[in-house]
Amino acid sequence: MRIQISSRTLQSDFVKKVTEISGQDLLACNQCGKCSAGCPMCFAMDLLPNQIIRLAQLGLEEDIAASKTVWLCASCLTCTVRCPRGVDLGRVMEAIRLITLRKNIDYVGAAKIPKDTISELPQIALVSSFRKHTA
Amino acid sequence: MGSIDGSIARKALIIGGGVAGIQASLDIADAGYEVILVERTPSIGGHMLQYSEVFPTLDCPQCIMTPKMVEVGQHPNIRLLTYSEVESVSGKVGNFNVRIRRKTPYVEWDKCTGCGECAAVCPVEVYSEYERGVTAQKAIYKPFGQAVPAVFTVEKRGYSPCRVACPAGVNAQGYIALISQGKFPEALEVVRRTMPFAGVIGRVCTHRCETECERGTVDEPMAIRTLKRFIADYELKAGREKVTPVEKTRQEKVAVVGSGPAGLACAYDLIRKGYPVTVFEAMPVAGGLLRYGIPEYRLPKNVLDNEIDYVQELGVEVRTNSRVEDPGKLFAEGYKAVFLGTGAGMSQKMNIPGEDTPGVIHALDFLKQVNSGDKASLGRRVVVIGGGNAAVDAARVAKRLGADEVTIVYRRSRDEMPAVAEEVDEAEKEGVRLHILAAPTQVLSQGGKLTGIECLRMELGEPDASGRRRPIPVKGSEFILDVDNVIIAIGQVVDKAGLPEELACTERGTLSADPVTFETSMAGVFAGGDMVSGPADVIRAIAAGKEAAESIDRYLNGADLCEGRPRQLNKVEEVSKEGVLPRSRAAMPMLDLKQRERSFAEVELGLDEKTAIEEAKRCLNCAGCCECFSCEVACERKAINHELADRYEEVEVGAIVVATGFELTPVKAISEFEPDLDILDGIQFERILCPGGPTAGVVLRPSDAKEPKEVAFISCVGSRDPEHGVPYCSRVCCMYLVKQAMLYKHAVPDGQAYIFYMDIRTTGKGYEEFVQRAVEEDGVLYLRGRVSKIFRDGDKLKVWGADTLTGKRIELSCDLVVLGMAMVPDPAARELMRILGINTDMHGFITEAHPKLRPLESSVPGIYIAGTAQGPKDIPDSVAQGSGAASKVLALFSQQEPVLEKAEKR
Amino acid sequence: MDLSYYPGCTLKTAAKGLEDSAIASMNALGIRLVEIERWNCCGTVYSLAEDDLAHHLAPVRNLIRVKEQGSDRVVTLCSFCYHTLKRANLLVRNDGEKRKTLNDFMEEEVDYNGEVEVLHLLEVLRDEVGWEAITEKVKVPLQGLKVAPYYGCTLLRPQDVAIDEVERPTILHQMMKSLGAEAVDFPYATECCGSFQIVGNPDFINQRAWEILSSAIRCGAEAIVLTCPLCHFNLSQRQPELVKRYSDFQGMPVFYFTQLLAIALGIDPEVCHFELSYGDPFSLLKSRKVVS
Repeated sequence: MRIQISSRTLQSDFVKKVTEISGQDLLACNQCGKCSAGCPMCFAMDLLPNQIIRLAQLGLEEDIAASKTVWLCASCLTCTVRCPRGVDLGRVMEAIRLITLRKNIDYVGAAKIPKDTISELPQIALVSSFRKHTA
Repeated sequence: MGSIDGSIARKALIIGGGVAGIQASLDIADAGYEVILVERTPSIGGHMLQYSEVFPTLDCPQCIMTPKMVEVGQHPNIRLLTYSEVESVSGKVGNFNVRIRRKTPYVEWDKCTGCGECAAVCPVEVYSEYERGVTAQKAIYKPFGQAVPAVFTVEKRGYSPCRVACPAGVNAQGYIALISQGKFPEALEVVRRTMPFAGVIGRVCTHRCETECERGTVDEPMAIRTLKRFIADYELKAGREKVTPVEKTRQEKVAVVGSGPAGLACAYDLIRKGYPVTVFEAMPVAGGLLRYGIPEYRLPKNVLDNEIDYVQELGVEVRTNSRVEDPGKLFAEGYKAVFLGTGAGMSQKMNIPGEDTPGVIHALDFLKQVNSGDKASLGRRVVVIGGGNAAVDAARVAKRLGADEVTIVYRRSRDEMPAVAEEVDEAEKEGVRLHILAAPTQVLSQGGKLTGIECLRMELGEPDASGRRRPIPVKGSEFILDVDNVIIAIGQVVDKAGLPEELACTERGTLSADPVTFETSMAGVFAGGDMVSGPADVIRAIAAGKEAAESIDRYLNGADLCEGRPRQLNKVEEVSKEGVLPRSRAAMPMLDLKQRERSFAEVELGLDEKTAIEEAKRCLNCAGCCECFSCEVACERKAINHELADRYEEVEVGAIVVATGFELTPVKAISEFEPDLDILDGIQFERILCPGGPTAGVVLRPSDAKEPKEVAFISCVGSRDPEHGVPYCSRVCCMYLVKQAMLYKHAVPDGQAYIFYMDIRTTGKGYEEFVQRAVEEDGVLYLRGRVSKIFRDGDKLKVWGADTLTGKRIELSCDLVVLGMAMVPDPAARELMRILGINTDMHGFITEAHPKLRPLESSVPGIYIAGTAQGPKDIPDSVAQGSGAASKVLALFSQQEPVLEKAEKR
Repeated sequence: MDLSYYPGCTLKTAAKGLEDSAIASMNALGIRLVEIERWNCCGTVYSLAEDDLAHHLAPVRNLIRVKEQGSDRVVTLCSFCYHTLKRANLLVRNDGEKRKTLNDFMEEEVDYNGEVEVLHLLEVLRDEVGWEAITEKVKVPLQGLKVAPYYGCTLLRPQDVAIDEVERPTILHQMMKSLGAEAVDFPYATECCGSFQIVGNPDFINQRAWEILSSAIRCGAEAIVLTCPLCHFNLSQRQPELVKRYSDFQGMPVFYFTQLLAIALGIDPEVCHFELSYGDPFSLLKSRKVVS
């Protein structure tokens, strides 16, 4: 199926929200791929970070939602410090996560984590994970 | 604006001798007008001369440029001023007055034949701008084979920090450079240009040079003192011919009183100036404190004897057993000037009860006795009071004479001890104990026999006048050390007995002398060394003797004593350490502790030849040229003159063309790429590809000279990158990188080339076809994405990139990486733009009068632009602009005067 | 000298060894770390959303506690705490509008305007104590210990909170040298360990941890030194998994920087709580004859 792109998709609510929450100009990205080249979690991602921002530029919310990429981002900010165009991709990733989380859809649930694991994990791990991955 | 009075100066100034400047010069000169071509470096040619073949035709730039360069050099209408810079510009279109600084190459170019004998003997290697660091060049150099003019230039950057730090100004870099080449006798000659004491100072100096040594910021300072000692030992071992006496060209006799380091240094300089010099020494043998104060295990007598002999062989007469009671009388004996350097030989007293008890002795007396070969007997337990070198020497001597327990009592902390730290360490190793933060309060005796010494503990308070923390007694902390002998070494003062009243003294009890000229209050009498400074180190005494010799020479010539003194030395402040790998300093081999017992054999054993050469090679050659003057000797035409100075000239021209070219941003600006020998910028790789380059066109990587089989080329490094300050496209990297990839493939057919790119921007004539050929015929693989990180992994460089076309991360294991760094305006030309008063953009590129319609004119009428100084561009565009700017100049020159208005108003 | 100190949650439990060794070492260096009163969680991660002020309240409250107690500086040990406090502080300093909203919302007794300086202990060691002074106080030089400094993310990124060069930091290297150890450079020194992904995606963390540790081993290191309790968990406490999964991996001791500091200063190893670390890192020091 061909993807329909129009001025409507380019200026969709999703694009506006991502821009607002992240404070980043999505169009500043010229798709050089440096973010993906250096991303430590990339090996586990189905789409590369630069592809996520490209999909966001095009307003293709569903494709982004179908990808695990933003949930695998560890907010290490390697992309942020190396982006030649000064795009804070860490913030873009956070914005996209928040759009889902604010619909009360959690990525991790405390209930789903085995008891043993919880007792073994330091607070710092649990708190940060819940902060990043739950509503 | 009205018409300009007088005529237009129909002469053009071209600034920058790259391909654009050369083209502009030739066009204007061919049209019959005079041209002055100013180039910052010693040769014209610019960056183009550094390249291998150029795209898309793969011409050899040396082949196509050399005829043009030669034409510039020989053109009757072109005056070529290389190694020159524009200092100031005034006036306006039609009549600019330009002041040009002609930097001295220290070679008279009209005499230089370019034979290269000088570079062959030069011991110093420096960074080569032409080879871009891929190989080094000598400090006297011709930039490259086809250089125009084909002459040599000396690179001097000022005085090395070691040389500036040395009170006597010994040229350490000079002798170290010669040692690195195995030229030991020549190295010793460099020391002897300043002073005769390589062996002595090579052993006992406090080596401030090492404190200042720039190598210390990389790993450890150079072992400067040890190297100096090495060349002296080398000669001593090999034996030397007797020196030919200096011809005495002067009538005026000079008397030197005292044969210590100050006196002998003074005599040495005076005899070499042709004065008859007589040294008067009260003791039976010459040498002063060097002989009677420093123990044999630290300074063997044969070393000292040899160096005193050397001074005598030059013609200095030394009269021993000759105490001079009244220096004033020397004038009556026919001496025209006198130098006093009798030292500070009287021990200071402690001023505590019991000080005169038998068994309490003074360090200098003790050392003198031992050094004279007289027997000194000590008890089993010895305490030495003091923290200077005399104290440490006395303690180590006491140990050697068989004392069981030797303790140094010092009132401040170990850090404050004035003795050389290494000596203190060795003393401890030999079993000398340190009792710091303690001061004696009284000497105890029973029945006139010394039994002990009472001390008080101290703590450190606020810093005193000397900057060291003041020791404060701790109340009630008295303690007693049982001893058989006490040696006092708390300092010496000048023995003023016998000095005539006319000689003024200071409050500190030293002889009063001018700190610069060393004149005393008595006409014709000069003084230096410990006598004036109070107890100090040997090198300062030598320095004083030398300065006094200079004063005596001036005095006897009736010249001004102060003019130009003290000499201001222009110290090299910034020394590049790029690519310098840490390597530890040569350790001094030491005599085994066991063998030191009861023995006065020398403790420090000295370096062997191989170690000395290796150590000398660690020198960073801070000053560039080391002023060993080997080149002067080698030059048959006598063209080299290290004393030459810059010259300035004023010219009047009607028009100026600015063609100052570009540079590349430094690789190190991209901090996520780990610095590595095998990561090169585009121009460095051109040198490696170039048939006339350092590898003769064989592609070898710098780290291990192996042929690289996998090579990554990376575009847009630092360009199109606002975060690194360069938002613009560098415009030529797409083309030269694919050309380099192709040339690499031609050189290494079984190798693989990769190009990381963002967009392929090859818009010139024949360029796109070139790219396709590289891909199809040479298998060059394009990967679309920027590289995020490069690091070394064993033999390989790991390159982390991405291929955004497939959405895959890429890791390459490469042998060599070439970075297409951003083109920026040559930073060396930044100041010039201000001098010319022309506008530049935020990146420093020259702004055109109109971006579309007046691309060759700057914001100032009569100043035109050519080449990459205006913005990144390729060779044909630069040449076209060169011709274009020339035509602008010619149009101006063909006008009658009133029409100048047009040039100004447009 | 007294210095206000913000501990954070994990230092009271899993990372007890980080806290106790730091306090003891700083005492030996003449600086007393004074825990601030009534501190709360720092929030662990800094909110990256423009419209989310709520999550900045926690770190700002802690900074108010510091200010209330009359201090103008606070030192942290945990990298995450450093990061959230430092960034929240910069936000308050640089964004007047958000500052006002935060202050209005909190209704704390005092307004907060970014008066406090947030420091990481490494900065204090470098800038206040100085490496040379540390070397002078070393009683047990870590001679012969080849340790790879691992910096993680939150002390270095983004640029405006970096305690050192973002891409080529040397602060831990310098510290290790000051203690007499050999600092081993390795390419993963600033690569992320995967952080909180340990909760939802532990398998991915195994892979990250293995890449990082094996890179350090390849470069000749025999131990890792780090600052962050989460990095410590991912790189050290998960090693039993790695040993199972990767046949060539046999484990590698991981130290907190303050543990090595305490050992070098000759402090009782008790304060290091090595019992909380996987694989008895202390035994490496014994086998290297650093300690007996």
